[in-house]
Amino acid sequence: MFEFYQPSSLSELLHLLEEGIPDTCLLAGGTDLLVEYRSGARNISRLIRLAHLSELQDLKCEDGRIKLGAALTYRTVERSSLLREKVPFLVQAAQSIGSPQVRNLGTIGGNLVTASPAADLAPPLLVLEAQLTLKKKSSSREIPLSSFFMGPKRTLLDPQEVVTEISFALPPENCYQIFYKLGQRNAMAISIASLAALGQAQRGFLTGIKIAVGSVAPTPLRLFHTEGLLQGERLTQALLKEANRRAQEEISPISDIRGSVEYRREIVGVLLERALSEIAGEVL
Amino acid sequence: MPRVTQRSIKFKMYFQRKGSKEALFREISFRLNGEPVRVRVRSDQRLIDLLRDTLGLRGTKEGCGRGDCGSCTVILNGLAVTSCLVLAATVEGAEILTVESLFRNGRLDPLQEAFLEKGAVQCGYCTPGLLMSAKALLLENPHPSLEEIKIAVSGNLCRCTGYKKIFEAIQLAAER
Repeated sequence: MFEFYQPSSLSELLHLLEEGIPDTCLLAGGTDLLVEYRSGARNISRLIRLAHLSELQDLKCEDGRIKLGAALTYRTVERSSLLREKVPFLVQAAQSIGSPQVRNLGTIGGNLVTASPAADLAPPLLVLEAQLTLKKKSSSREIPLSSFFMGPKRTLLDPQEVVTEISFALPPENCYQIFYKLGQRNAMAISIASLAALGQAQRGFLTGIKIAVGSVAPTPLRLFHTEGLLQGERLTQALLKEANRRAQEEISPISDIRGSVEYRREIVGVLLERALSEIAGEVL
Repeated sequence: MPRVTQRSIKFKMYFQRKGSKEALFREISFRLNGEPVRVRVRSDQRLIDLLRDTLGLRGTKEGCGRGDCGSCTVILNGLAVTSCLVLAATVEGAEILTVESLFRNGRLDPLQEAFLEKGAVQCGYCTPGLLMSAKALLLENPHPSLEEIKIAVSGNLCRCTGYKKIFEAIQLAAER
């Protein structure tokens, strides 16, 4: 049993957090939190709901940046015409999560704060170089998503802070947007591996390549070294092999119920080659 | 039952830690199958427990209890949700439909008729959840494609048989 609060505004929520009661938790969609609580894996002494707060439901494009309130549900993301037009791969990632029932409850902020290595929105948001707005009663800060994850279920978030907004610059118009997710079935599957990529080929040369992967490291991961190898190059069979080798050095998968280390390594290679071939149009 | 004992110990410890009683229980009002309901809930009570144990509506079934199987699906403000993942305290002011709402004035819902007609039921445990996922779909989209039907019930597991007759039943109900 815990104290339950449904604050009427964000400032009331920040005030409740500021009191610093140990084991205070924020409730967004609850699709992970309530399962954890009931399994005994998490103590909750005070639960503060945020899913209903209107301050956390923004969905807009301002000065070339898309701004998303942290309490938007996956469903809202899936059905937004703005997002379908501008970032279809993010919409695709949202559609790949859980079940319709879960997508009607779960929120984009929750997907990130839970810090699962398999968080499906993380790879596309990582390649979009998303920024998170973290607020507490007395201050507010912006941090890049790439430095938010500290490990499985661990983030930079202070106990008295809440993620209020996720924002990113619109990707270039003619940029390829790719999201691949491999699960054990099409519906209700947790990723065995996922990959998001942005980029384009200009006269055969790769530019603006950004790649991120999920479920193959303690956190969702941007593959900076692999990107560095590819930037400005023509895609050849030899380069594909080299990129795969570089990616293997960057990831650190584990074996679990969904897949072995060896399988995950193999799959990352396959997804990477597929994404790069699609962006380049041809492999020399 | 061990879980009950564990809860009451937690409860006692809570009061020893001088918790505020108002935040542990909550009086909520909402509409259930069209009727207004006012009820006191525990802070950690789930919607499925409120429906089945407190309000006695046992049509909604609990399967996995972790949002994986869909058998506890109800419609919350027009959207299908697994009631095992919803805290009762959060449904203040909401409109909730359970499988009991489908039977009205002595008549089955066209979906129920179609499930019977197509033989889309074996053991029947997943059926209330499937009906409510299908109902949520038809409320929003009265003429769904087969693909849309498949997506709408992708969160409902049936372990007796395949889904073919279930898809057919939903198509049939939509045609009527």
